[in-house]
Amino acid sequence: MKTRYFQGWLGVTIPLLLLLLLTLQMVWLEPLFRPLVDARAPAIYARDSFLNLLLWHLAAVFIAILAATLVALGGGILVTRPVGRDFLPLARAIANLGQTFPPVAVLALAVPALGFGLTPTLVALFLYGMLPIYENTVTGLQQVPGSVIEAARGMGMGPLQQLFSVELPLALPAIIAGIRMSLVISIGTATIGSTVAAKGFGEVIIAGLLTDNMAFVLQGGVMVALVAIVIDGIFQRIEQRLSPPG
Amino acid sequence: MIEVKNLCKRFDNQAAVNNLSFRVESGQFCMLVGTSGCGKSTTLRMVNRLIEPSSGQILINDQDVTSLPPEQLRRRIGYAIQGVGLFPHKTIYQNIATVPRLLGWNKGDINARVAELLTLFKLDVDTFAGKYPHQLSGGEQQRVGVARALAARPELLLMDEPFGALDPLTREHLQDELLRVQKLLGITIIMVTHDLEEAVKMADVIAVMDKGEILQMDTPEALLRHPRAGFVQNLVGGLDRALRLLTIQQVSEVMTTLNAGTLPPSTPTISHGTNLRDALSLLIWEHAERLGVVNDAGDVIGQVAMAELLQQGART
Repeated sequence: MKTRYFQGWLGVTIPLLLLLLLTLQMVWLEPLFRPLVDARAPAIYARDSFLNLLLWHLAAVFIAILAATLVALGGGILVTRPVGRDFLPLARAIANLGQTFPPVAVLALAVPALGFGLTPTLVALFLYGMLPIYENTVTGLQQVPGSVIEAARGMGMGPLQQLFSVELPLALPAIIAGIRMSLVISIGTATIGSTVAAKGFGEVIIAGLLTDNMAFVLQGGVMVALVAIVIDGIFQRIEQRLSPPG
Repeated sequence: MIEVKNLCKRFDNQAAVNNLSFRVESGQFCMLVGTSGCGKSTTLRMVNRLIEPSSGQILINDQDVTSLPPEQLRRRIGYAIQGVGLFPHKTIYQNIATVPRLLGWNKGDINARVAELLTLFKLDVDTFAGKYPHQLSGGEQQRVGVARALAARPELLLMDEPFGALDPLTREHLQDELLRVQKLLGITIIMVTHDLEEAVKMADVIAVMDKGEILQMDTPEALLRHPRAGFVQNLVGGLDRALRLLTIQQVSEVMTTLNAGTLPPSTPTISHGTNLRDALSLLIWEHAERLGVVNDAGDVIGQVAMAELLQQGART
């Protein structure tokens, strides 16, 4: 049992250790990257520390997805209540629109209004991250068996008691899955934020593209992928933990 | 005592329940019988206000059900349904404790009550309290469902085809258990079913419903012997009605008392709580003329003869 538990977390701990190692000691890999670049060009990105970039990248993603979660969860709950049921199609249309609108276009539109930097990136990630969470919240709440709701009502639970002690706990795994999807998508999408001067691993990739430095592109790409794998792994395990038994 | 007065319910101008009036005395087991869509479930769900009537009145012990907020009313009325609706993410203990917790009972009272109910339904407390619903069989789940409905000691229990999804054997066991529990607790039960056999077996009074109206409300015996012409006649007047009549009475009600030892040793025996239909079946099987009746301890307390049994199923 103990070893199985440990093995269950191996898929997270190994990428996590790798991520921390590369964040702090990317220089160790200089011999690997050296052949990819001109002799005079730097092989390791050094204009900012990888730790700093990691923190900025994560901050942007988590702030945006936290906000997206609050709005999408609230919206999902609202449209599955008797009062909000009429808004179900409308809310879905709005969330879909947020998803189909390319993040690059959001950035382009947001910069004149919000200036350069983190803010337009947050807006783009927020809009882009809402749909999976919203969809999963609605699906999760709608999948609660009718007999369970009927029993809850029949025993005298009020609407809020039904929501918090029956519906949300049963929908929680689906909601967490939605948040996980949004996070993973956002970790990738956040790289384009660097085109409007938001800090993050996108900066490394863009610097590499501008100076024709394949080593930089690779370093940025690897870091983004590792972050995504780690976050995905952690949330998958939270999801399993919260699934009702059976 | 439940009193329903001129109850109506319309859905989009379609009458689901049409000017219904009836009474169920305290401690009675009342069955609402009818085909799907006859309004029996709608009627039941208006008693605990899961559906609000279009017009009419429901009184429980002379108190109008609308005089309480719906949630508070429902906490005082037990409710068990066909799908059971146990909370899959909660243990059996937590499921049964639902209404007592809503009512703010203290932990000691809840513990004692859950243990008492599990024992009442012959479920071992230590084994079952910590289990989750999916670990239980269908019959065990429905036992827990009924236990949960009874948790806060309601005087009235509403049941909507609670045994409909169970296999025949399990269903029979649960019917017997429910009857035992009802006698023990003295609660009033209103149950909805489409199964006439279930109704005849369990009810003190049966209300046959069709198209939102009660066509006849009578004791099982009166219903079987004197059904009104039309729907009721078609429902109960099948060839097997004599046998249905036999299911109503128990052997102990028709036996002649005997002193121990006066019966020939080869006479087959039957438990005093068996219904007459099963007793007749045993007579046929054993090719016997009479049966010895034994009590729970296994002592012979009486006898019943073939002719007496047959008489009970006769038209008059």
